[in-house]
Amino acid sequence: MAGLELLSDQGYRVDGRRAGELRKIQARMGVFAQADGSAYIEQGNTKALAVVYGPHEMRGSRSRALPDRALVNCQYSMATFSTGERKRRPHGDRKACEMGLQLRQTFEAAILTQLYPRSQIDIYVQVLQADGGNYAACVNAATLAVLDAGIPMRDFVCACSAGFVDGTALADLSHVEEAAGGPQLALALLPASGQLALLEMDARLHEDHLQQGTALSPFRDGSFEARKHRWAPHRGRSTLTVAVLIRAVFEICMTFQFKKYKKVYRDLLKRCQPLACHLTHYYV
Amino acid sequence: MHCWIMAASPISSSGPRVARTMLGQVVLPGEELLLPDSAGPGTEGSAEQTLRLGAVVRPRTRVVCGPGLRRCGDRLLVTKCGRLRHKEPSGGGSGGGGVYWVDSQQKRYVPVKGDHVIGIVTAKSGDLFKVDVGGSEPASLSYLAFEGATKRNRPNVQVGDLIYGQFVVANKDMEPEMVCIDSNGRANGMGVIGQDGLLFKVTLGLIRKLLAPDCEIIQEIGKLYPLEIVFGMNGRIWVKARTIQQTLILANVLEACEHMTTEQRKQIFSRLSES
Repeated sequence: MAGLELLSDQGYRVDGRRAGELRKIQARMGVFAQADGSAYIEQGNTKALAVVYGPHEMRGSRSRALPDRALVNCQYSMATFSTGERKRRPHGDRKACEMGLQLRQTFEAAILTQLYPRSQIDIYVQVLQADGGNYAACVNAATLAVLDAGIPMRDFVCACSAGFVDGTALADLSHVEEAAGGPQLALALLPASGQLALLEMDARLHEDHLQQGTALSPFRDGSFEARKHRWAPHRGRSTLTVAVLIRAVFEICMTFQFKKYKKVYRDLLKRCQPLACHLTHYYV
Repeated sequence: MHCWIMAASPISSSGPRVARTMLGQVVLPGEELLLPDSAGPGTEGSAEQTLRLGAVVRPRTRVVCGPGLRRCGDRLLVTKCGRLRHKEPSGGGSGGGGVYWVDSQQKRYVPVKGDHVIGIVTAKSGDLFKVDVGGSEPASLSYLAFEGATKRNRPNVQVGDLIYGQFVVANKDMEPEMVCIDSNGRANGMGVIGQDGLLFKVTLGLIRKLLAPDCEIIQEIGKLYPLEIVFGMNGRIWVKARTIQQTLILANVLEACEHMTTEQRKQIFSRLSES
């Protein structure tokens, strides 16, 4: 395969990072005065904005209200100028619906919804610039927005994407690396307890290339690291300078024994039972 | 060739920390805090407790878990982000271990029993008023819950009026109910708020700060213009001064108080009192 070399011989990626390095993260909370909670995050060139309203009265149909917990309503949208080509995306898009559903599953696992029966919590996320790792940036932005809104959570959620090229796992993929077509993993994690909220893997790898003989080694001890830096409240205004680093996936997704692949998923599924988990895998 | 999956190790490798050492520090959801008496006498942070025969019986202290914290087992789980605070029991003796809570910033109000709030009447149905208090449901207010109200002598409340009242029922399972009388049957300042004036919204943290016992801001504002002011714990403030301009100035000053330092505030007040 000619073309772009995702990982050079010296171990540098297209944007000059090493295999396990994340992109620079900048975040800000409380960007909208009229929303209950809002946050903006930049992961490298990917920019996402999240706004949270709630818990408030059920809007729309009262019949959808849950008698024992709050309804979490997530909507995902991408701005028309977010990708390289200007593309108008209608609201009920399939991709947007799927992402909204994934976000909803992620946050229903974290927010203490049983404190607010018959209410609704709205999370609106918009991607302003998409350079890979959209889901991860959305989850991180939404977490910060929910923290800003003061909605009680059992743990905050952080997410990251990962890929695999030439026998090395790459953390935090950019658009170029995603478009190259290797296997990709998106992972959302509750750091304090180490539980998974969501794990999604796209493996578009031909079977012939799978005979690599590398052992599977995901989730090794110490490979998860979510460090939080100082949170500097700025006169009550929460301009957050937290960088939530997730080095979750440095040794993940080295699955090249195709038969073991299915077994991994079954084991992971068993471990993820207590929380919402959404596994998708695409076979070539 | 076999594949093995090991459990992801929890992130906080230092483990749960004792609550007392975290006072005033920022805590994030998911952190666990140890209560002081579960840490053992004289050895904070140690998990071991030596059993002594015939020793002093440690008094069982009851620690109250305030907003932002939940109990899980014998630990406290942090659910909101903010600074950890503690208040010793005022009575002493068998008062318990005090209160721990997380001082967090929030705009959305959740009804709590006993809170005094400002509501807007949205509907009148029979002998019940529906009052919007900014929570997830409108509160209900009976027409008999005013001072001196009887079946013949109904209070003069219209849709769109402002009501200052307190919650008697406020939990997650039921619709909140509020009244405009206290337990003795007197209004005590509650009831329909008069004409004119301006209602605006601020964050809940600012309200708590303004309602603290010795708040300088309120004293300085009182010296500035003669005014009437009502604070609702749901983040709403109603203010009325002699002229509309003064009312607007006061509203802007109170909204800006959240982001100003003490010096900036004093500057603004001195400029206003001169003009």
